[in-house]
Amino acid sequence: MSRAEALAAALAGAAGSQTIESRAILDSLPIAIYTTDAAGVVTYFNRAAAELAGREPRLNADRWCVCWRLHRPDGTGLPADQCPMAEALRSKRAVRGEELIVARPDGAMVPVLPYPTPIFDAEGEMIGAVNVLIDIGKRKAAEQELRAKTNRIQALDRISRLLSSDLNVEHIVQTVTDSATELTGAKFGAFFYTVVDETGEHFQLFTLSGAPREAFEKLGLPRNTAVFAPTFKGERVVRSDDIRKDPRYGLSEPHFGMPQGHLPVVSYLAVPVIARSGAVLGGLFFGHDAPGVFTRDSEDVVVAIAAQAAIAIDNARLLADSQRQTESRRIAELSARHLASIVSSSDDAIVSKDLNGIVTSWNRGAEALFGYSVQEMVGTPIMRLIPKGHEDEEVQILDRIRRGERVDHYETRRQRKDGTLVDISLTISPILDDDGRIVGASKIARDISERKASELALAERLREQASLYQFTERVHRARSIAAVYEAALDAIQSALRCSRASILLIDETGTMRFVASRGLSESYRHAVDGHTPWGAEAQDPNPILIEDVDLADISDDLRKAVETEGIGALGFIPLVSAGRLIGKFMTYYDTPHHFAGSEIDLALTIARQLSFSVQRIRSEEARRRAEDLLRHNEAKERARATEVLALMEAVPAPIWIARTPDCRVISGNRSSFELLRLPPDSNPSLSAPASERPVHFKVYSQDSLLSPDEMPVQRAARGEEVRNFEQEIRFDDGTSRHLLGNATPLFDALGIPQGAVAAFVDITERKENEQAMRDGERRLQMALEAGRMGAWEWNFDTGKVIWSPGLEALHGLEPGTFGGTLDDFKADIHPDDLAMVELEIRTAIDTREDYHTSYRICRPDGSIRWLEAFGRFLPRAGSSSQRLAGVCMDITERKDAESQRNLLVAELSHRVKNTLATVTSIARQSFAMTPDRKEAEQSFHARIRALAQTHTRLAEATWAGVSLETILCDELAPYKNENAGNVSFGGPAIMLSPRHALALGMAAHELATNAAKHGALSVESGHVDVSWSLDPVNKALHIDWCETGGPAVASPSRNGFGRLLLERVVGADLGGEVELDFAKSGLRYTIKMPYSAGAER
Amino acid sequence: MNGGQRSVFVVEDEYLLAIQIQDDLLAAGFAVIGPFTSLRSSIAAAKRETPQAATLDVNLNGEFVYPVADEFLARGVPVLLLTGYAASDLPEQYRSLPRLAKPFNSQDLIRTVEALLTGK
Repeated sequence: MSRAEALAAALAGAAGSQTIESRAILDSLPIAIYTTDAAGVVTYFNRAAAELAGREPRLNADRWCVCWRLHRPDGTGLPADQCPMAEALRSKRAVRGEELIVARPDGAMVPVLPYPTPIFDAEGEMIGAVNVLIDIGKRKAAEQELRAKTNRIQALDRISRLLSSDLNVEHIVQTVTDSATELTGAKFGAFFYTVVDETGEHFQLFTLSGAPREAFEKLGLPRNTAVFAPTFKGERVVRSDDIRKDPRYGLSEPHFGMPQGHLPVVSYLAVPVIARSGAVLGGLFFGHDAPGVFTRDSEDVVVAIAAQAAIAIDNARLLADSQRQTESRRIAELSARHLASIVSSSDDAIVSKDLNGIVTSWNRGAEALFGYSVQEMVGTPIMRLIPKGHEDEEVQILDRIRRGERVDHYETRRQRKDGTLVDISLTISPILDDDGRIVGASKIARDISERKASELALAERLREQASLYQFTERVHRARSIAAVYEAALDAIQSALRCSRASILLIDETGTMRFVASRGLSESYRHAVDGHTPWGAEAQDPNPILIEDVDLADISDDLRKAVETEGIGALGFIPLVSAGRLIGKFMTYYDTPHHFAGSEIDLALTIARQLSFSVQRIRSEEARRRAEDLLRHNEAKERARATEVLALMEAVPAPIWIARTPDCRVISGNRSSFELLRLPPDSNPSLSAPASERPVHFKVYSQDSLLSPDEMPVQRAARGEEVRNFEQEIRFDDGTSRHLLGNATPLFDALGIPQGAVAAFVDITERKENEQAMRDGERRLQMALEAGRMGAWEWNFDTGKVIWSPGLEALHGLEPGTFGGTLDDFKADIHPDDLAMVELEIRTAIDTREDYHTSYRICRPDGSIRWLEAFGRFLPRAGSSSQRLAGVCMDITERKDAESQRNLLVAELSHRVKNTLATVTSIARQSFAMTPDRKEAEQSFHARIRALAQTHTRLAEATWAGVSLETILCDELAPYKNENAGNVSFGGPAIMLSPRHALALGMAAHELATNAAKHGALSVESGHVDVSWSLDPVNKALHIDWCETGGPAVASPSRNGFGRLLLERVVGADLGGEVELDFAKSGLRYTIKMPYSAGAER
Repeated sequence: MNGGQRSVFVVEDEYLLAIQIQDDLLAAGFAVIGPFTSLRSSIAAAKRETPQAATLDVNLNGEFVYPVADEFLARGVPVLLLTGYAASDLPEQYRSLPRLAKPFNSQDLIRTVEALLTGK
């Protein structure tokens, strides 16, 4: 009964009678104890139970067990109600020997052995159970350790038995590696060991376990780093839980730690394997990718295995050594036995001679080499083999032999029986007799002709190699193509031993041309230039070798040229670059020449070098040229940019540049800033942010304000080509500038607009001039029209006559219908004036003086107008022709006025004189017909006054006429009595011509004076009525003078002036009929005269 | 028309003057053809009559007497122009004709007509 068993039983027995003291004892026991009631509910637990459970059990809540979780020993979960305690309560029996594992909430696993024991009361009723939990973790570990140790010992035993019976080193190390890896629990193990072969060379091998061989092969052997050194030097064991944290780790170049691809070693164990002699045979290395795998035990095991391994390897080597020695001895014996037959059958000549130089033995090799048989040579002096000039050699050799020296590999020449010389190598040793005296010499002669030949060939190769080397070096140094050609020709001549050589390259036309040559005549080069044995497109062409020109199948021309040049053999070696034929080099020999394989190889090597170098130099030159060009272009570009900049600044035209499509910033030249009145390098863009934008001007086009997006630079910056754009910059001071120009987009390489340039010219002056000219022309036109003037121009060169619309109007032509020639002009001129006008024009042209004339024209409507013309001769000036240009004015009115004036003057004179003549007549008639002189005088004066009065009326109306009523009023006024109404008029308004007015005026005067003196106006009751009417059908005017109420009328006794006038003159002057009726009731006078309205003048 | 009498063709639109001329010529023993006061009547008469002389008023109520003058001159009838115009106011071809400026008196008229008839 274990202590726990006893305790459990005791507890179960004492349960019913617990005391405070016993409780305190339980509480402090270092053994986990708890109790439950009959239902398994935990009723008590001590401190040790809580510690074991790793939690604070809950009294009256936890059931069956105080632990968090339970597992079976195999790791599977064990429900609490199936735990041994539950089993004990159910079966009411103590349960024993059921191991289980308590899982703590912190993850720790504790193996325990429970001792559940039911508790019964005095009546034998189960009232609960007590459980004692014994922690068996330590015991378990100990058991495991014991098992492991046992295993290791068994393994070691197995290994040692294995190793002691194994003499194969490789097998041994593999076994050691595998066993040790297994025993240490390593993931992988390796055994690096040193072996010594028969020649005494040391080298390292390795075996692996747990990892494929490839895992190490690519890494190479471990080096003598700080980590490895203690192992390989046999100093000590290295064991680390994490080698990466070892201070020796990561110190060595180049990896500073494990190289890329190394197995993931964390835990590390390395043990040297040391032989009995103390020599380090190698090292055992173990690794694991988890930390802390290797323990002291592991180390011990490996150390033990290492010792076993060392012994086994030593043994194996000992065996190998002894086997080797046996073999050596066997071979030595064999050699001795075979020596005699070797001598006799040796290809080398083996000869012995005495100190006098007499041949004593002569083998078959000597016979073969020198041609003498044994019989011929033995007993004869060796001197017969020695050619002239080598006589001293034998003496010296014999001297050395006598001194006991050996002559090794003495190279000389000997003469064969047939007299030819042969190169031999002599090895001569003294022959001693049994007493050790020198009695002769053995001599081994080896034919070294072939070797000599080989040496010669080697020297040749060396020379060739040297040539190639030199060539290679020179072409790599070469900076010019000419230097490459020189080096190549040197190499060709020296390596190929040809007397002449040349290089030809295919030029841009595809023709093979000489670029360099040695020893060739001009005429030969000329004759064969362009010749090639390969097609232009030949792929990897082969060398063409003509060993004997005489036998070669070549064209007659080529043969002739070659023979003339004294060439016996020649080789065409193609120069190929990137598989393409670029040229060839030629070797020429004066005599037929055999091209050996090595020679061809050499030629091809040179060809490769040459091709490569030519291409290299060419591409370098091309690159240099390109760089030069680029530099040149760059310089030019820079210069041009500077020029453009200077130009931009210098031009008096504003230029703007925008470098972004949005034109937020625009730069410009000096002129642009001056134009916009901005400081240089300011931003004139109206697309700039509002705060930066200039505000002192606005841009207009065709009188409408442009938004920034409508401006030419902005439009161009969006990709539009803006041509001949007119804009007006209006400044806030009221001035403005007119600009005309273009804006062009700036595109990037992808064709996307990135900005714009714009150049404008200031056309303000021109605009103003144009405006002024337009104004001037308009004023001129107005002046011409106002003055009834027209302009004309006659171009002598073209014969064209140009008329202004005004002149056409003067000629009565519709605008634009003038024919345009001088004849058209002449056609309008009045025939009477044409000759004069032609003369004037001729004079103006001849004298170059101004042309001034006036003439009449006949207008299409038949009217005739007077024109006055002024012209001026305009000589040829620049591109303009000789012209006669001037103006015409319509002077018809002036002409009319002139003639009117003349007429008026004449008329005035005429009238004045007529009037005077009339006055004279009146005077004559008055005085002749009136007997009473006084009365005559009064009548005359009255008549003159009446005449004057009518004249006055006519003058007032500028002789345009006067009304009938006015005439009558004037004459009757003195006699009129408004109150009495003695005079009355009636009739339509009649205007009288001056002549009629004068006639009627005089008639009215005579009638009125007669009425006042004798008729109706002489009395109060008298009445004069004058009535008149128009007869429109006969175009006649009837005037009726009718007197009534006057004294009775009697026919006058005499014919006075009045009657003459009334009866004869008035009728005649009026061109009408008059009737004077002296009726008793009153005088009546009627006039019937022609009259048409408006014809008074 | 009596054959022995010398006849003078008179054209004068101012009838008072015409009467006076007529009176003066009659008084001097001439026969008077006319007086005519209009161009139209003057031309018609001129084509009919062949007087020894003609006194012609130049301006006949705005019309010129030249056609009558031409008629007579063509037939060799001496013509006397009676006018208030100066010679320069007359057409070129009539400037050389005998002329009597208005106003004139009877004596001047008769003497001029006499001179015209005698070819002086």
